[in-house]
Amino acid sequence: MRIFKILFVVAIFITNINSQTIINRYSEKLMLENDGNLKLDITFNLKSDSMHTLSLPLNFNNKDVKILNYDSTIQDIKLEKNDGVKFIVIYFKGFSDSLIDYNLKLEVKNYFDFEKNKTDFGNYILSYKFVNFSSLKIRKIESYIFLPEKYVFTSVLETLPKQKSNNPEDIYVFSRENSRNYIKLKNSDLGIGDGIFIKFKFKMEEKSKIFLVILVFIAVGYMIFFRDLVKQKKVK
Amino acid sequence: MEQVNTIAINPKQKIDDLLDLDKHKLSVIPEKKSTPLERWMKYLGLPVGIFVFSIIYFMPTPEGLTASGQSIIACFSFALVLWISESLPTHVTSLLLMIMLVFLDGWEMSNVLGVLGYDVIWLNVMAFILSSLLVKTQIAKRIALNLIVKFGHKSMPMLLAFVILQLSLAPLIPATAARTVITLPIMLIVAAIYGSTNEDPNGFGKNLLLQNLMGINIFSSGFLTGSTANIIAVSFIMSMADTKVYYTDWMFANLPVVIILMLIMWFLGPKLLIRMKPEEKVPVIEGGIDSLKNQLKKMGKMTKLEKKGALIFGIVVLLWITDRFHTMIFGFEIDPVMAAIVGGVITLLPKVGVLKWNEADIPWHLMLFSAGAYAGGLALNDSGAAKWVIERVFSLIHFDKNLNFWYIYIIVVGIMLFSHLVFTSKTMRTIILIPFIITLAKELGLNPLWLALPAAFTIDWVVGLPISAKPNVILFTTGQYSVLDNIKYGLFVSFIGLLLLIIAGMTWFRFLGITP
Repeated sequence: MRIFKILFVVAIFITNINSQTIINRYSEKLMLENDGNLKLDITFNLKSDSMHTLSLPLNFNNKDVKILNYDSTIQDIKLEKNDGVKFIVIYFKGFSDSLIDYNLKLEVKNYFDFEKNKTDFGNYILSYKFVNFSSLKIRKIESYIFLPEKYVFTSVLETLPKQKSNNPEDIYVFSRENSRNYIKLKNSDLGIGDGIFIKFKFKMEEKSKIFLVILVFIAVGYMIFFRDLVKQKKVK
Repeated sequence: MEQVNTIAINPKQKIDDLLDLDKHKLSVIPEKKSTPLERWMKYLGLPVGIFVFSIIYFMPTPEGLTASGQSIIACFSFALVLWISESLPTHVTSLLLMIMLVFLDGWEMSNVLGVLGYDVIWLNVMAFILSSLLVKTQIAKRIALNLIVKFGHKSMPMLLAFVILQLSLAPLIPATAARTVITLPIMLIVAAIYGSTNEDPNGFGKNLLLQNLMGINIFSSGFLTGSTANIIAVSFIMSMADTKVYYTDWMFANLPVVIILMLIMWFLGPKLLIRMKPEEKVPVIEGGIDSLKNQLKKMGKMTKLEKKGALIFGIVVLLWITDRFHTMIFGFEIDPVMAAIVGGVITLLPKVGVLKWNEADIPWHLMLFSAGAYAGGLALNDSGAAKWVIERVFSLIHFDKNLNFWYIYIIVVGIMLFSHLVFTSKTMRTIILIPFIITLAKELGLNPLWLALPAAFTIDWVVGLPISAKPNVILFTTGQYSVLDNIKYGLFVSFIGLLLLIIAGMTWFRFLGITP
């Protein structure tokens, strides 16, 4: 089975081979929705030159993927799967000798099961990896993972590449857009077979009101119980 | 809370009483009398801490910060209020902080509990074993008496002697913790001779310990090799700003600044910050300085026990001094902590050593304080919360090319200097801030050296909190000063230091070609 997998990747590589061509920038926005579906917005930038097609890796094996929309510069998109490896095959409209942005939007149904992935403190654990199974090298890759509204990141458990202690540049950063928190993971010069990976915890942004009430009780209780601290002189 | 009375110290005591370890054990929590202000602080500390915690914890998570980071900032702020106000004993606050970090999903339990195994805690334990060795063998008493007989007729020359001592040790022993361990027993005995014990610390003891805390840390910044972080900063300046900074460049520029800073603090500390009563300015020994001279005379030549103790301690000091040659000599490098453990093992070896376990005075309650406080600081680093705080501070200031250079200089150097309040690691602080400052300078069309090098000069000025650096943790465990004393003194030094760096930037650094 493995040999077919390798042959398939090699076949794709040969059909697209163009030593001059690289994907200049690959940016993907993964927007996790409350129902567990994932909206995927991919933008890549390249010179298509003499390429008719490009196979991009789709790292969502065993998931139901639906094409939502794509650019007018793209003639057609097909989802292909061979021996467990999913690809998006992009058919370009024409050749271009300048850098052009191509955009496509997909949806992955039932990507994340909130019930199954719940852990301590109401946290959910999500891991995501992108492996460059395309035939082209990627110069710069950015993956944005958006949480549903009212969810916040708790902590990052693991990343690839790892954050080196002597490297001032962050492998990942947290930010927010339209009330949705996201994490941006970046890397550069991704060869064929190279990838990025992140595993993180997130949870609903809600704090227990009972806890606040308890804190108020503790503060008031302390002030009553220890009032002798400031009354001592009068007692004397 | 029950009020306790102080064990009154007789203004004139016999030196043997003052130096009797069984009477002033650091491992026994002293009972101190509180002033009305301190009692009010104790009373209000917990409610204020809860209020500060609630504001931070219950606010919506700010952009760029994780939920863990938010919890950690809230817990640390709560603990900071409690440490300052002493509403709860400092070690209880630390334990509470550890619980909160875990229960509020700030830091993993294994990480929190693991802090007790950190090098700083081990060094602390070994520091007190070695300190007990110096005290039991009377070496510390001999050194302290010699110092006092020569300089200590009055407090100010005595304090100055310690400034000179720390300055001379700084280039010899780069590890700040090692310098602390060497001088700690001498500090404690000198403080005791001036009537300051952990049971009843006085102005002299506070000044002595805090001034040494400053000296140990700040003198490291006088030398490029004073800390690993200094070397990292210079390598960033070289790789990102294409400017080489030599050992002598660093020393000529910053050593005069730190010497002036320490002299200012030596002068102002006892006059402005922690004032000494007249009776605290002289040794509180029956018979005065003559009695101390007699004591020294009575000690005679070094005893066999003293020689043995000196040999053991000498081995440790030798290992600390020769750190850069370890690989050549042993084929591997001996970390300062391992060198201290080697000393601890020899000290406690039956027949070979000089100390029985029961004679080692280790303040375990303060180890717990250190572990909890360090856990809070490390969690701030680890979660990215410390970095987030600094980035927010930088983002509040709108830098642009039209700004006056000196305005940018003050802000950048100031942020670098005060950032030690949120970072417990000098290396981490350097790795995050120095490249940021170099990039900022480039964006503003400035020579990166103008900002990055003066900022790097403040890397070792980690003086604001008892957990800001290893020497701070070790010295705090002597019980001679409070968290509030440390903050007051540390912030004052930082402000004076910033002022000096501004003046130096406009004059001395300009003369040396570091600033425009």
